Amino acid sequence: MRSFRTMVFAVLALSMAAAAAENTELLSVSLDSPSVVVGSALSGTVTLNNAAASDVKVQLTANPAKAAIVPADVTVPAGAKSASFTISTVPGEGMVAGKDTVVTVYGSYGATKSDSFKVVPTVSFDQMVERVVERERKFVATMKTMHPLAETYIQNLHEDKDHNVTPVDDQYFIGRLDMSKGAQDDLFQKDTPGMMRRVVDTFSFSLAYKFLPRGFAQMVMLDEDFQKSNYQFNFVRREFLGEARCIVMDVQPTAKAPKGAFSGRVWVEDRNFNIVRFNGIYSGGTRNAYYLHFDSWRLNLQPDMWLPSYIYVEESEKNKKSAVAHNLYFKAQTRLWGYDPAELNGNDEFTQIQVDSSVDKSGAKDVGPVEAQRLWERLAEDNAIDHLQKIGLVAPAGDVEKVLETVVNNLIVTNKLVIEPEVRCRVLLTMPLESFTIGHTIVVSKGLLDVLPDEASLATILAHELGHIALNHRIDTKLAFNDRFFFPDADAFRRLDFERNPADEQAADAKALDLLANSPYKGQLASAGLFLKALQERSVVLTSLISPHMGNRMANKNAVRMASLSNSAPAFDDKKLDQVAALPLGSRVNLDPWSNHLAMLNAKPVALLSPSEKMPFEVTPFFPYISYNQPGGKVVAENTPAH
Amino acid sequence: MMRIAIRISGIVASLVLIFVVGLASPVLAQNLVTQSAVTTPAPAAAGPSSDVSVGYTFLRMSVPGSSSVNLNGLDVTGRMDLNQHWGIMVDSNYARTPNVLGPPDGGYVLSFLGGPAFYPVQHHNTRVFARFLAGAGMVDAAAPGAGTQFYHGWLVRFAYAGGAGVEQAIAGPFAVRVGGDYLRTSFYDHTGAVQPQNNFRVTASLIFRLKNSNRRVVGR
Repeated sequence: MRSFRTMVFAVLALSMAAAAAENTELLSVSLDSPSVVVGSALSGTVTLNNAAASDVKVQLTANPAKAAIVPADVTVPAGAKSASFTISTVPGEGMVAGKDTVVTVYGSYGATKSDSFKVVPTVSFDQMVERVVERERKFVATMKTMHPLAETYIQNLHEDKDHNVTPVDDQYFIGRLDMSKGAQDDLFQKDTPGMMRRVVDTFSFSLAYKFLPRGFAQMVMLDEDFQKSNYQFNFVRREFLGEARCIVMDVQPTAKAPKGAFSGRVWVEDRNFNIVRFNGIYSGGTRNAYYLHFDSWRLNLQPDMWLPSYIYVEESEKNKKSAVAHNLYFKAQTRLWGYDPAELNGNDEFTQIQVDSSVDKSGAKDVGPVEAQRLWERLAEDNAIDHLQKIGLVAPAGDVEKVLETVVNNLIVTNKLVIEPEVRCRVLLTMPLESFTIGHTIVVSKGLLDVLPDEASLATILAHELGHIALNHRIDTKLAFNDRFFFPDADAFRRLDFERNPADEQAADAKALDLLANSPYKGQLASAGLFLKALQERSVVLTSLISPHMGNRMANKNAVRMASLSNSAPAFDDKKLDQVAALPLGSRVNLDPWSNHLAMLNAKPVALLSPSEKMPFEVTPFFPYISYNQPGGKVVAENTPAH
Repeated sequence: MMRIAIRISGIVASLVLIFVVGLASPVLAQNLVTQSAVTTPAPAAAGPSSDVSVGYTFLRMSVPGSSSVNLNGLDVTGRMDLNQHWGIMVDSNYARTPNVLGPPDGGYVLSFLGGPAFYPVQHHNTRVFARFLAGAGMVDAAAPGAGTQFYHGWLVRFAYAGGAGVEQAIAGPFAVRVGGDYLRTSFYDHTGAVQPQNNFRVTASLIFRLKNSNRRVVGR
């Protein structure tokens, strides 16, 4: 009897496996590059519609067969849905001399799927330049349809007689980029300047240096009208930027080139000849209007789409005898994100409609007054977060948010707090240091996350916000009405204000200290105090970095959030390499400029060699790790360590 | 007494004009800065540029009721460029002659003027400018009287000048400027009445460009 039962189960299992195997078929064949130079290799991926019940062999062929070498088959291991394979291209085989050859790779298992790529013949330097120009002109056309957010943060510098360079003041602007009519931007501003302020500003602008946001945004373009005849191109070397093998060349405008032509060095990836990086200056500024030196990086955000993501700008005309008209001495970062139009428009909602079960299994059908009030407040909270995410200011929930929620949970559990509905964490993608609550959602800016030296400091920031929630400092429920969000994106900082009154702030400070005293972080608060002390010290000069968009100011000359922690912190010792009060900007979190998803920075720790490398709250250059956009992949670049 | 009141009112009017012109120029300049051309990259920073110049001036002064007199002298100018096309300029010009209507009575014209400068064209290191300046002019000269007699005196009145010229950068912070102006001043005629004077002056100057200050603001 028992053996019969075993036999039945075995038959059933085999039948199910067979059925699964029968239903399993090839869903797609995808290649990681739309074209390669002959002699190079590329990767392909076969994807099944279901996870393979047992090893599945997908048959592969290429057409024309002589133009590419593909393995006869690729095995998708049991339990997996996809497998990768390598395609090699052979010089001379199956190719028409001097012309591109389109190769189609077919995969077959249950169904036959294919993808194609172009084999580009080996080109001379001159031909390569022509392709670069062609690609760049295509890029300019693409860029004119894109409307990313562009954020620029500038730190003006001073070098003392001991050659210590420190920021002496700073400036910040953020706006939505529109290149369709030249470099334009729609700046997000918190305050609407009054008539008198505009008049005073106008005169002060005319009598002092001014930084022009659209000039920084302009640096996404090498040349809006890129013509080969306007430049001299000189090959320098080949170099890897991350995994992208690049051709490095110097580019100089010819004598007849129009004003504003780029002069500097260009890195071109050698698969499709897209410009990955360019480093130099536009030529021909006037005695009043200056072009600045910049280092502009593009990332492969979508297949065959390289888009500007990081720009580092630096000028150091300290020498008063130099021939340059200005004596600007500063460094600045411009970051761009929010490219994905679907993310901005929310159109993906319509392409991924899922109809959930409409049967309520909870038993209770009605909503009581208390629950109704909670739901109403949660609605206001959700509306605000959804809107901020839609316009690209808040990151979609992901891994970084989970890290924050883990720290918040540590505080909640150890303090036996009961909070309903649950506390969530989100990241504001802007640089100014701030944190605030929207109902039960704690929002921390990316800039603040970046400069926090350790988990205890993060816990301190989160404890303050959790204090607001625990003390039931409520959200303004006017945000439960969706018409409150019918305003231009640029008005977001004006229309969405989550600032608390001073009494609430003090109460949250006191509550936070209680929460931390009962938490696992209570023995590590010296570093948090040191961070707050450094924050207050720098708040005098880095006024823009400390100025919040939507929450409360964390520090000023006379006060700092949770001052008792700051007061009990050890004294500063700039010379101690192991005393790091705050990190440079960009030290913690990496942003995908296409989807706005965040990931923790994957950087190896670097030992500091001198106190000048501490650079608390400071701007540093960008060195992203360039990788090709993989089908289904998310991470496209990782910053190399600043620390 | 009346004459003193007229003089004072003239000087006050000049100062008011200089102030108004000085204020209006940055507004015009700011509007122009924001209109960057589409074909060339937008600049990332902008700032005023200032210079001082010293030069030789030749002035041909009309004497009411008589012929013209040639004067020679010194011109000192300070200028601040607000953007590519506009600037403000202050100009002090002193030109004298050893005799006006005959020796030994010399004369001079001293003017302090200020106002906007406009740069319509710039090509490499050369640029053309036009300017309108207003302020006060002091004329020390002689007016013909009866027969061979003449009266000597001086007068401070509102004065203005309009002209154009060319600047050429030489090397480093140095450039040269050559320009001509129509200069309107006032002086007495033989009856003692104040009459306008139509003067023309030509100036050749050496320009020294100053470094900017470090003050910075964010603009749009």
